[in-house]
Amino acid sequence: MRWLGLYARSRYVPVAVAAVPLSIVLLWWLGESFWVPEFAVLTLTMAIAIAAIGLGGQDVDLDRTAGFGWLSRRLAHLLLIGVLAGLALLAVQQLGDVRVDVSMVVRDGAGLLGLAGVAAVLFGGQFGWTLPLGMAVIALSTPEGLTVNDVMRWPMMSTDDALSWWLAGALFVLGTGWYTVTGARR
Amino acid sequence: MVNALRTELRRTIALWLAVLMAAVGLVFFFSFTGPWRRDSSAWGLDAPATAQWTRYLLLLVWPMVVGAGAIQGMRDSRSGVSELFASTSRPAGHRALTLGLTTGIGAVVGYLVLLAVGFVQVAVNGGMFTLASLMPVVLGLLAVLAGVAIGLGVGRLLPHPVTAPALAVLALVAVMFLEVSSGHGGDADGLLPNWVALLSAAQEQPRSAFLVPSAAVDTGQFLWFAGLIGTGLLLLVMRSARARLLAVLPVVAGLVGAAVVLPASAADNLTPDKAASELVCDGSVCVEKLHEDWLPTLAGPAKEALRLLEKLPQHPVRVEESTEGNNTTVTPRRDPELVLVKKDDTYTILPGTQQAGYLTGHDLTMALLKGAGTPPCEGLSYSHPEEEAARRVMAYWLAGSATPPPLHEHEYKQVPGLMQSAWTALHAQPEPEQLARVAAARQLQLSCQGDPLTALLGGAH
Repeated sequence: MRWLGLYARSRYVPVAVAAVPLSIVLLWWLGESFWVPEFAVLTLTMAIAIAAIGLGGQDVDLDRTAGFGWLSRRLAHLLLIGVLAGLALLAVQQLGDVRVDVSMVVRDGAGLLGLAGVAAVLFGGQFGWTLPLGMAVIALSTPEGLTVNDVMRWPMMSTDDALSWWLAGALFVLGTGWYTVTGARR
Repeated sequence: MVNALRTELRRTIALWLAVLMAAVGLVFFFSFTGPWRRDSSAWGLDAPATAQWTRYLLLLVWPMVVGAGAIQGMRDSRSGVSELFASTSRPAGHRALTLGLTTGIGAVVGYLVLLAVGFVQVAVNGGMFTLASLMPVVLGLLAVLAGVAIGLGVGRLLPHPVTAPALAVLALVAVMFLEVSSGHGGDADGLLPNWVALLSAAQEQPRSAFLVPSAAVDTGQFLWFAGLIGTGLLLLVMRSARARLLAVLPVVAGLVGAAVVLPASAADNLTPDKAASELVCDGSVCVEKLHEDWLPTLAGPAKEALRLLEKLPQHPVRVEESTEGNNTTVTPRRDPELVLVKKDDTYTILPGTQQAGYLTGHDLTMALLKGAGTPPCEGLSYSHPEEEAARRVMAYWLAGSATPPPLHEHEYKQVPGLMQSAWTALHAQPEPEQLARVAAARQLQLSCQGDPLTALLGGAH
């Protein structure tokens, strides 16, 4: 348990635990009157982005001297971020009349989580938020239209759309796999 | 100084920021279809709209700029060298300003690349450059710098890893929320007071090639962005708690100034660009300077339409291009002396073909004659089949057609039947009565009170 406590502190879990619910409730309150996929994606992105700052520790080199395997721990950490962000969103939207599909939350959460993993590997744990947020910005501002548009706005597509599931799945596998194996950039 | 800057440019993400901004912007403008590709206010067609579209793009880019500023702002504390640098004799302000300058240069370069690509396209397309496009450029650059400054300042003030994502998300939420809650340039005001919506770094999408933000909007936004920049820089440079408290002064001053200056009603947000909307005439047919090359297309059909309209007792005497924006929620302006036409409204599926294009010749004449030379009262004519049917019957009657207006493909279901009955009822009457009914219908379209179809059918009006 002592390990878990220290780990949680070095991965900014207390901050995330305070900031994520607070910001989710705030955004939901702002967007409640027009709760649409746009706001759901934005809320989910924000939760993942804020929690993703903990994907790297204070000192990556020091971490690696530990006498245990990091693989399962990294994987668990990343997946936990996704699960908690998704659950928080699903919980808060129960307060209102309009709800976004669970399948959409699963798809978008998985894809954005993968992007967080990729960002952590490429730029470092503190910048795990950059790619999910960048993706959300692009997805939210791309209008409907050609196939190129659909690729860029996969988080906004209907859940019937196979392409969006493939893209989200690919990002998820790439991000979680890469992060689990390599860890955050030092 | 130059050396220090060069080192900083290599060491910071400033260059990456420029690349990111340009890449995101160019992908957005070139690979996606959207209103920036259509209409006469498209990106890259004329300078005023191009400058405004580039500022509209800040909707995507501004959160990135703010996030990048925050990442840079907390660089020292992230590397754990704050104390080390505090112990050197070099004033902290110097280092902070070099950092600010580099990040600012990165953001400005990114924005200017986008503008340059847009303006090169304007030149290639033979578009018009006007002085009024300068203000959106200046304000766009100021908005970008304000994003950098706020990011740097807050990053320096609160150097926690969560600051950067929180600030970037906050910026995104702010621009998006201001965008959805603005009045969209119409008479109807949005969720928020108009002046609050105007505080956004991003601008609403331009809906007309001629309209540019009014002087009040420019001044107010200038004050607001200047305040943001001042606060960001003070937060970056100041070290003591008291000095940091003073840093709120510029942004508060900017906000107060903006609140005083910015227009209270969305109707005052835009004003015609004088250079672009100067009239160029061929006899009784006038277009705006910006669309001078459209005049030869318009002149012949427009004169023909005016000649046919002379049948009516009170008929318009000139055809003029309207400077109004494309806004389906606003009733277009009308003038008994003028036939007002928007170039974008003549872009449609060409009759008898499957292709879209600008109407020419006889088709253009018929379009001008719709409603006997009046604009529709309801913004979206196809959702009001009675009005649409009446307007087309009036056009075909004026043109002296022997047959009722033809049916279009993808027609709103009620329109054909309504046109047929109005046509039959109208032609059952003697010639003077027909004329009186069409003239009455035109008056109704000019006042927008009453149903022109009833007038054609001879009912009470």
